[in-house]
Amino acid sequence: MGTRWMILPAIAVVAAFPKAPAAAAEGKPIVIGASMSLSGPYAAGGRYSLEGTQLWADEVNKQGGLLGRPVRLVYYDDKSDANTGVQLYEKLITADKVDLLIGPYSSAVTSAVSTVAEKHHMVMLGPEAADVKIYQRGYKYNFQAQTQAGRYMQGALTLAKAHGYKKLAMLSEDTAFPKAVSSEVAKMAAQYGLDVVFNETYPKGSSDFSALLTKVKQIGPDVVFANSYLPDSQGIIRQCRELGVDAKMFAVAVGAAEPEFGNLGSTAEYIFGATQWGASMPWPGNAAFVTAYRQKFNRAPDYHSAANYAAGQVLEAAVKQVGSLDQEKLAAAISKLELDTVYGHFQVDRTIQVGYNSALLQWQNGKQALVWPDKVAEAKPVLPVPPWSQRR
Amino acid sequence: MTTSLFLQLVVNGIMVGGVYGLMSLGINLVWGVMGVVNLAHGDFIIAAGFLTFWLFARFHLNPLVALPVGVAMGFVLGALTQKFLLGKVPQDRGAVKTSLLMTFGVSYILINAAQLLFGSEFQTVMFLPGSWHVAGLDFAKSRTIAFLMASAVSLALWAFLRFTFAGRAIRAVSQSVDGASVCGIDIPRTRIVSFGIGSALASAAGALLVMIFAISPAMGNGYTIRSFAVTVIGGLGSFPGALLGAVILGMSEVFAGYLVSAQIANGIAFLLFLLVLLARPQGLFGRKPS
Repeated sequence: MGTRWMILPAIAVVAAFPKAPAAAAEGKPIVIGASMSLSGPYAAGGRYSLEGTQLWADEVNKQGGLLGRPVRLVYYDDKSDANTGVQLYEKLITADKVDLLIGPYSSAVTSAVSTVAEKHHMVMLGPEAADVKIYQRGYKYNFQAQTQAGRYMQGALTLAKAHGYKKLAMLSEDTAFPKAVSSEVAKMAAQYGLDVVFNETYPKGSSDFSALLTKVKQIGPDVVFANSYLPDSQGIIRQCRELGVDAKMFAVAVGAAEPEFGNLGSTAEYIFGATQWGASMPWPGNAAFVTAYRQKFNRAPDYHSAANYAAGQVLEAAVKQVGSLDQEKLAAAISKLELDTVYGHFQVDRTIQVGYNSALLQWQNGKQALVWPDKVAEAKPVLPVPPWSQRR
Repeated sequence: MTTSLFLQLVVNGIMVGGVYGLMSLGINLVWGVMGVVNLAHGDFIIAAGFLTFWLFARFHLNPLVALPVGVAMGFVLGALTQKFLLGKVPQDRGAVKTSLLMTFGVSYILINAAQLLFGSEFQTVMFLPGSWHVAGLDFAKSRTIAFLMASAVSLALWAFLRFTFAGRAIRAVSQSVDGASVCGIDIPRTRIVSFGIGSALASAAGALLVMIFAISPAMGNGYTIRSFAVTVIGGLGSFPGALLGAVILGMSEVFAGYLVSAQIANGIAFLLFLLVLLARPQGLFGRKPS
């Protein structure tokens, strides 16, 4: 891969955007279907994701639509449940007869619903599915539009290595994405001079982590990773404080990037979190995206919003390139597409995302600050973090 | 396992058990008096939790001050549910089934009302982070306060049931509806008070729970099941049984989580449930059916 000439059509497509006809879109709308986790444990990320797609659809319509037709979004709440998601995608495809699909929130739900999309030969970008295993099943119509799970904790691992930390403890929810993160980290740990001294999972929907954390405390790791979503990330960090689990570094896979993580107050301070995007990142159109998002939803976007918005950009580019909604041709186009989105450089190897990269943020003085990689860093990482007993 | 570690796990188990106890007292009371498992019990817990969260987030109201507000809301909601819904069920042979289904319906209404009012995301009240260190053990501040409050509410309920006329009437109805009726106890009114108190207890538990864990509108079901399991383990109608059952469940979850895995801890309630049903169907402190 990496053939240079592929960039040319991509650039041509990008260049074509602003010159899109300003005339109002006419005709039968192009219906875009998705399920989103709007309730249940994944609701926080799910809502940001939905808003990203909504903003994209709005902007497409403002610029004259897709193929001259307006786009219309049809979505349902999958309740953070894979089985519900499967039923919903079946409904979207067979009953609602949508023209295009966008993937749901979380690897767990995406993994399940991708079989439905594949069965019906419908292209589905997975903007919120980081687990690479989903894309290693030989499917032709599913494309990863999120950073690979293995890259999420790279920043945290790099900082841990730089500070000479040795012992790593990991707690993970026992669903697709968190388990993918922990298995990838376990594989890479030695490279970063880390020894995985604790690696256990907990069921989805858990709220009491005191038993696992008591074990972690006994071991006394230098670094604690919570490979989790927002509610469990909050629970784990809070209970680390309650049980006096004093590691030198705490990092969570998903959750700290959400503004809601700040509800933890002083307990959120110094916590590291993987993020795949930042408002200050220099991607084309990113600043305008942030402004438009704030205007429309009256809150700041998080990386899930940006990933879904970018998936829309990719879909839009592919449709414009193909000039129709032919799913075979769209799949072929996306597999070769390279596009600089608000989320970074989109590029897939077969169906696996190789363009997007992860960054790391840390909560400092009640705010999120990007601390890695250096080229996007807004602040210096604070390490080691002060022990819990010295906090307010 | 060192002694201090063992004691730490015991402390963790008792703390969680205290809140489970408070949860199960409500379901126990309603079950005893009405002969119905209130399937909306967990949703009353969550509703009060969200009310507490809202008062805290919006008005910075201390959750311990919010607790009586939640309790009052729970009592009123519960009493209204009994008066206008369950109380209307004709007392024939199908009454129990109809009432059970009705609580199921109430559960759905509460879940969706909570989602409309508060959104579907997980929320928690960050109240008193950190812990106290006593004798080498960690007492998480929020859990300790919740445990103490749960104990106080339980004690107040015990005194109410033992020393007041209304409380004695509730106990009489739970022992024999006909007997109580013959003695001149107003059965419908007693049921309204019982259901109100049951929901008030659920609400107290919810207000305390949200100080410890994050809750979301859809998760009430899990707490209904836990409360139900505790009642079965401890024994229907038994006050000490409910509290002991709760501590047993709390400790089992903590020890199973430490010694085996978090997955086992999550299902331990069902295991205990089965064991008790097999070995002692009336529960540890329950009356044998006559």
